[in-house]
Amino acid sequence: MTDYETTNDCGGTDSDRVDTDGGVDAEYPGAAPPERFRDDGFVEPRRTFRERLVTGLGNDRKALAGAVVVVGFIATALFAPIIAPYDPNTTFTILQEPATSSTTADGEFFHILGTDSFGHDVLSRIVYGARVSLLVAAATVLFAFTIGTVIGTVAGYYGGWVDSLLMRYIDFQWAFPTLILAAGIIAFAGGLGVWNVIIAIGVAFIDDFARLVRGEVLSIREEEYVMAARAVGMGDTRIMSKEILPNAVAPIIVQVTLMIPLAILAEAGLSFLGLGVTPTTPTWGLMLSEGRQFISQAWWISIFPGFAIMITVLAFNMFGDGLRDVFDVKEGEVSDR
Amino acid sequence: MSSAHSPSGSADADEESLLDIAGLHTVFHTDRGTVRAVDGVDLSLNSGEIVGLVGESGSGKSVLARSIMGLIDDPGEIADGDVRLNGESLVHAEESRLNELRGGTVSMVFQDPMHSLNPTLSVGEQIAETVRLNQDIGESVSLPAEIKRKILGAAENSEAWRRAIEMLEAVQIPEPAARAGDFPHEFSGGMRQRAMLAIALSCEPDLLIADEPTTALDVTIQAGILDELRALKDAFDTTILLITHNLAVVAEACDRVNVMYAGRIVERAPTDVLFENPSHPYTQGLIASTPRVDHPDADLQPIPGSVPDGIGEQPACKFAKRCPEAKPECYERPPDFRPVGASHEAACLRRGPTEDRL
Repeated sequence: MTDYETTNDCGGTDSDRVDTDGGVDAEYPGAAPPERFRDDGFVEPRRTFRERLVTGLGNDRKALAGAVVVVGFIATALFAPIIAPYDPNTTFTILQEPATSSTTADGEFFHILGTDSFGHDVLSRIVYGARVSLLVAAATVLFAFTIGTVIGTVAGYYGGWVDSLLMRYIDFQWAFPTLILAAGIIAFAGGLGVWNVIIAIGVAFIDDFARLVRGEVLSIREEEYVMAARAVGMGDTRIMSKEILPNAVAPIIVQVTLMIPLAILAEAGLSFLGLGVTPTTPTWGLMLSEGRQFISQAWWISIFPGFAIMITVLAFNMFGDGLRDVFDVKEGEVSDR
Repeated sequence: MSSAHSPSGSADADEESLLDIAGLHTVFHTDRGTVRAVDGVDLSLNSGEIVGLVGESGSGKSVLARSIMGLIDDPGEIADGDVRLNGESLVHAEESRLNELRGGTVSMVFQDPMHSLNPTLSVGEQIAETVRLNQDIGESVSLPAEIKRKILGAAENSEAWRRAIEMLEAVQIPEPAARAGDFPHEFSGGMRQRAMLAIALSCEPDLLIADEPTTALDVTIQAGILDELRALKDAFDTTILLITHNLAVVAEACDRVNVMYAGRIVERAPTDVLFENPSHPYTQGLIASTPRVDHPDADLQPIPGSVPDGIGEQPACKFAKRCPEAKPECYERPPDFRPVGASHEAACLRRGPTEDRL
């Protein structure tokens, strides 16, 4: 044994003590080392995914802030009736006023964020609007993610005519602007409503996922571990689900966090065009659109829903960024920043 | 070097062989023409042997390995010949049958341990997965189990997981129970190659193809892996085809050696015979171009030129252009295998019994 190997053994995680010693209970060819230089029984504590998630996000302040806002957004949506001061569709006597109070037969009501042109309480509508935004964003992205991932994976993995066929369809869809396509689908579906909006935007987003996933699959399927998986008898389906997709998860998560705010914006756009949810439903997009015509006299009607969109979008992006670092086992540790 | 087996296991032995490759041609169709990567290989392995396949980069060793495994993808194809494992043709087998055989009956270890393990699954899970795939232990192949283990940090009690820990122990990973939950990036290079061996051997295959298993490792670790291969061969009763460009590895590990050049086997012999008495000019060149510890002052003599890419018309003997002994007839007349010693053959017209010699 040489000095080199001794120092190497003290080095920690990446020392090759097994390889140099040839076994756990290797005899020492020379003098046995003092107790503190023996390395058997030394097990480095390992961190589970949960520990990485907690410490990873805990050390990343941006991601933590994002996570807090995302959780707040989801809680707001779920508990809207408890959080909102009033029913979003109650019409108060005072129209289009900034922070004010109104008096009705039932008593005095405070409108911290003012009232809109119909006399609805803006804060209550924003709180309830989170429901529609969350539903539309989650369902849309789930829909597009599921179908897009399947199309992208199959196209990228099999290649050949399967790839050509699927990707020509995606190209065809790519050629249409998202909103025009979604509007067309709504017209085809024949009617307004949350579920039609979800399907319309969902279909329009398929290509974003399909392209991304196909690109990832094209590079991952050439990795040697995919060949190694085939060499131990794994079938195509299992290779796609266990070998390829888990390795494409980081960019897909980033894509999800990018698509959620885009879905919120697309819903707002459709609502503005009169192709979204039914007009009385409180949604941020609809509020923004309705407030737009009064922007010079009543800024609060559109500014506050705008803030809600902005903060939610920003939070999803920061959260997604942090999540990507945690998921990326290849990088190992998440750095403090 | 001591050979564990007597040199009786030559290609023409009439005992039933485990693997039989006959006249195998694997070609790749490219824009520049058809590349004949494996160009008529005959090779047979008997049970319990470690047989070396040696040749320089581009000689078709890895393509031969993948041809055996049925892992030749477009634009490549097996154009002719057959591969028989236990008498069953692999070339004509359905993909589903090949999937059954891979892992359980024939398995493979790849060159680069850094990239041959899935970075997103724990090492233990990758072994357990192979066990579930190939052995009927009544456990479904489950993604949720891995997610549960990863997120909840739960210990796994399944049969497959227990087997994974056993395998890690068999390949000398310390603290196998604790290490099984580690991801590949938490293993060193040597440990990853051991983990690859654990995966490949977890279902006790009859045949293990080791494609350059030590090339990416440094020298001290190489020796450990080769020792491991020999120990595992006995422990799991596996036959090994060891592919390498490194003559030292062959000398260390193999019973018999096949030297491959440009898609063809050019010489085959028991290991010690080959090193003592290399016959084919290519083998002689290969040995002369390898540094030797026992002759530190000897000049290295590189073989001039490089391996042909196999496109277009080739001389009858593909080595003729680089061969110091080439005669005009070498370009025209295909070399056949000639006996040059006991169980020792070379495909060269200028070798063999004197009366046939060019």
